[in-house]
Amino acid sequence: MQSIWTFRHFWMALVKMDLRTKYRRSVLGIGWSVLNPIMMSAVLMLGFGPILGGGRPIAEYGAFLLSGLCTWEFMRNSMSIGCTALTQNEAYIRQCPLPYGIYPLRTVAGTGIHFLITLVVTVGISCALTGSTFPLANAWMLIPVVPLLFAFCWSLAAIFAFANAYFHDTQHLTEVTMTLMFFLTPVMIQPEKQHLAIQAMNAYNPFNVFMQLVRHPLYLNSFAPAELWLQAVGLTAILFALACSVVGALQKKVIFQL
Amino acid sequence: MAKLDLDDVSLTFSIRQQRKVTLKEYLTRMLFLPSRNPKVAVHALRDITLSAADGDRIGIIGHNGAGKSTLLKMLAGVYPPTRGTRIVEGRVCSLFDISLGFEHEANGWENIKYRAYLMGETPASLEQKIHGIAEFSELGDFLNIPVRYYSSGMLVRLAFSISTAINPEVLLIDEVLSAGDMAFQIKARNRMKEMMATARLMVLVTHEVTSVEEICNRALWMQHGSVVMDGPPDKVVAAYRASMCAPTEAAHVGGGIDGGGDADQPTDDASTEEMRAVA
Repeated sequence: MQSIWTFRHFWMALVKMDLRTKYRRSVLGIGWSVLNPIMMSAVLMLGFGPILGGGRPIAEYGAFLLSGLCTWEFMRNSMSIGCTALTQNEAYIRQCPLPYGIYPLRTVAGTGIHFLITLVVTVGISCALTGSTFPLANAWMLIPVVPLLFAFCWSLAAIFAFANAYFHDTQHLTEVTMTLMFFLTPVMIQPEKQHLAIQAMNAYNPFNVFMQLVRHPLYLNSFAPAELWLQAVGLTAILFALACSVVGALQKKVIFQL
Repeated sequence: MAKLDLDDVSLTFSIRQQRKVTLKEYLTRMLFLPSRNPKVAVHALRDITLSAADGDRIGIIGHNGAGKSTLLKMLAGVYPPTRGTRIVEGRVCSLFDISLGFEHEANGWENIKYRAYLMGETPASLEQKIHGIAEFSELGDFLNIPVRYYSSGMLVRLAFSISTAINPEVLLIDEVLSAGDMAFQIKARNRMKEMMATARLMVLVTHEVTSVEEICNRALWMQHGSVVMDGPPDKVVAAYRASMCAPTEAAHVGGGIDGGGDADQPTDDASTEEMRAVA
């Protein structure tokens, strides 16, 4: 942890560059981070709202979608881009023995900044869609969610980065699995509209736990229940410990796999 | 105080002849059938014991594939030893593959920052050096454009200027004395001499044996991943030159390959001590 902090200027500079590079030569630039979830939600809201909205007004379904999509995209991108965190930084790894946790951090910091932008947009549009200011009034409830979600995503990215170095099909498997999880997690389908078996699985779905933490203040107008917090903290602690163990155990060996 | 200490260090790579592992390979492994693409153990370094302290200027010579660059990378901490103990104390600067690791979409100024931060510089410490780096590279306005538009010579100029701008305690150099065009090479050599004078401990890998005789006060001759001779540069270089006149197995490339054997695994924390002072 101390070495990651020592080299903060290095990875922070790379995160800045990643953000600039992503929208290189784009007229709208980082505006796409704002526009993307809006357009995606608009399309899904108009296309699936009448079917999956559970009889609620279509605008309300839009607020449900936005809060789910922004959280989902952060988790999905952290995992799928995180898979390549070591292979894409091989040139640095072969030059200087920096702590390996830096590379998934580069990925998650980049996707995390997009998430924060999207979250701000979500709060604003949710106010407009629900015709109420409660999403803005409840925004402070997200303050503890963000670092917890960030730790969760870094842990996932670190584990999958090492897994991908040993087994190069990990990234493809992850992408397929995340597509499946998209439909199993109540991102666009209201939980009560899901199959009973899937509803039962939601309690054990880690992605759903974080999605609920975001949805409670922004969509349900309530603070997430204590048991949900406990689940999220426990899950993150276990995953973080696992990620640290993986990094610690494999960082001296993984160079032989790159 | 700078210090290098290798005690009975070995490094073995476990690689496959064909890099790709097919689905069939996975299935045959599950069926306990012999693999058509087995792992082979490449003994890059064998039983190396080396101690160096302040004032040492070590030149490493040997044929291609003798393990010189691998030894340097192991000293830098890039490769962990698969057996033995490595202790490196002091701020390390490694000059190898210097044109590697550029961010091609970023411009020259930005790449100066990335590489300097990679070497442990901070924005405050870099501010004092960044104009000196730019001036030394002689790239002028080219520093404002993305490095993907640079020629390979320009990349080497930039990389060399950044890498040699810090003041290390332990300097590890691998064949970077031939950077850039003739005019830049003269500048680069002078810069290298300044660095070598200020660094407390230096290890230089080169095929230019005259450089070893001029710059170093100790030489290592490596062959097949082992140290054949360690001593004063004139004697080691003379022995190395003599070996080239008599074609023996010394001329063969590589440190040795064992087919199908299991490679050593990197030693765990208990047996491999790594000490690296971070600036």
